[in-house]
Amino acid sequence: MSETLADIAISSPEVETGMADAILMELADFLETFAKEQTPHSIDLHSLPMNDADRAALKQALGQGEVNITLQSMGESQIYETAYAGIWWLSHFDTEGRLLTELIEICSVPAILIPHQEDISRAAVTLKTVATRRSADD
Amino acid sequence: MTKKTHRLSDELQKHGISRRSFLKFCTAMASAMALPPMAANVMAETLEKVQRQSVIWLSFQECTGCTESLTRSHKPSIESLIFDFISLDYHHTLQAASGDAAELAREQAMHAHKGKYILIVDGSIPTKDDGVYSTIAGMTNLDMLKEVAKDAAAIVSIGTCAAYGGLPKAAPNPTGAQSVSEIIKDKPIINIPGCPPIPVVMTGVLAHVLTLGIPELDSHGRPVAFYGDSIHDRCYRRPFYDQGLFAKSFDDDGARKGWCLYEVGCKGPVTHNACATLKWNNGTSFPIQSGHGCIGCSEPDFWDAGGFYKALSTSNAEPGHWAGVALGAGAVVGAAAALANRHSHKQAESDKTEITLDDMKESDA
Repeated sequence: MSETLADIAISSPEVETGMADAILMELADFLETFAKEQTPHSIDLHSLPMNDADRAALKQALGQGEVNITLQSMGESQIYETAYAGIWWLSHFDTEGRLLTELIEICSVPAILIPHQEDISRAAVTLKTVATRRSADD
Repeated sequence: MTKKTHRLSDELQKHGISRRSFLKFCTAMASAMALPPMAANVMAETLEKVQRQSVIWLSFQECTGCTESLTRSHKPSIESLIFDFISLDYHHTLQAASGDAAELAREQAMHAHKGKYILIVDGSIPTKDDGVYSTIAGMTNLDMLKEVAKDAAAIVSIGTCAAYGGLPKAAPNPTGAQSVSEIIKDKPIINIPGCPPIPVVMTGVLAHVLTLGIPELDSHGRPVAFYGDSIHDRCYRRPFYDQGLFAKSFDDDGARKGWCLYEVGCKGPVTHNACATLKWNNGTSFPIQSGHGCIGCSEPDFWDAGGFYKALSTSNAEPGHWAGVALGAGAVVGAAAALANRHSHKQAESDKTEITLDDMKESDA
């Protein structure tokens, strides 16, 4: 009888543990608070003992909203708003496509998307220089 | 220092590292450290204002595994950004300089950043016979540690050897190996044990020290963020433990079904580390996921804790935190485990196992 590595089970069973329901309840509370007091919050999924079945269940329950963003910054980040306004799902990958962190943020817009004031100022100077040079060239 | 030193953020922008990359790094670190939600933003704001931190790294009685873990486990990744945040002024394995020039670099860094540099140590320090068992450039490790520690702002002991003595300290400890904290008493010391430690734990703690200061430590000097939970608490096989489903030997039916490895000697219940969540080799796996029990490498004196393949409650460990495993169900399971150990050979035979628990114990002894 020949066996392959795949025959030797050393993985967790992919059955839901109830984690998705627990997180949904937590999110509901946080969203309620955010709606009233604008207090943002986030839940770090990476450190929770969730299996793939839990993750899939949570993703399905939250659904997809209208916004879907891909960020290119030291590897890709996928950010989308769930079907519930103010609840965002963020997946940060490194340059090799390895998942670094996975978070759910309760906020208007995730902080990583908002350009920093200093960067805007620096960009304004650069753009002015470029625009001036181009019109001088014409 | 004639001019005002540049802020780290300006320096990084020149190298094409954007603020978002920065924030992404901090998010990953904060996540790894289970910091409160807004910590990543605070870390990023602080980090961009600071100057590069001078770091002196001393390697003593060690195998270089800790350096390997930190520098080679990933190809350029977000974690390696830490090397942009620090100025590694002395590390005798990594630096280009050698001989007198290397030692001069150490002395210059000590002088230029007196009272401000961070000292990282990997390896234990031999103290027997005035420390003659390990020397660098004619100086004993013991003398070098004392000299460099004197003007350090803080010390980070990386790996179980520096933190608790590790393998060199294993009985009969021929060189009189000691940990950093047994020798240096007047500096803040952070222990990052593990054989080796998880790369992101080293990076995370350094990022924390640079931005939020010294993290909260447990009674063994370890950052609670990474060492607060036991392997057992976060183990994906925990549900099997709770149901009383145990592998009785490697390669038996239970082992194949991925049941709990408690009875074949897993030290998960008494070991505090983040392997079960952060994992190894780019997040691929960790020992238990590969079918082997935890050996407890981030705990003091793990090498002398009674055998890697003996179930916890039957081990002949020295009294102390190793022996006192009164883990609720664990205590009950313990009695069963003692029995199971005795019967494991027969059980293994019926399961057509090639390597039995007893074989493992023999080679372990």
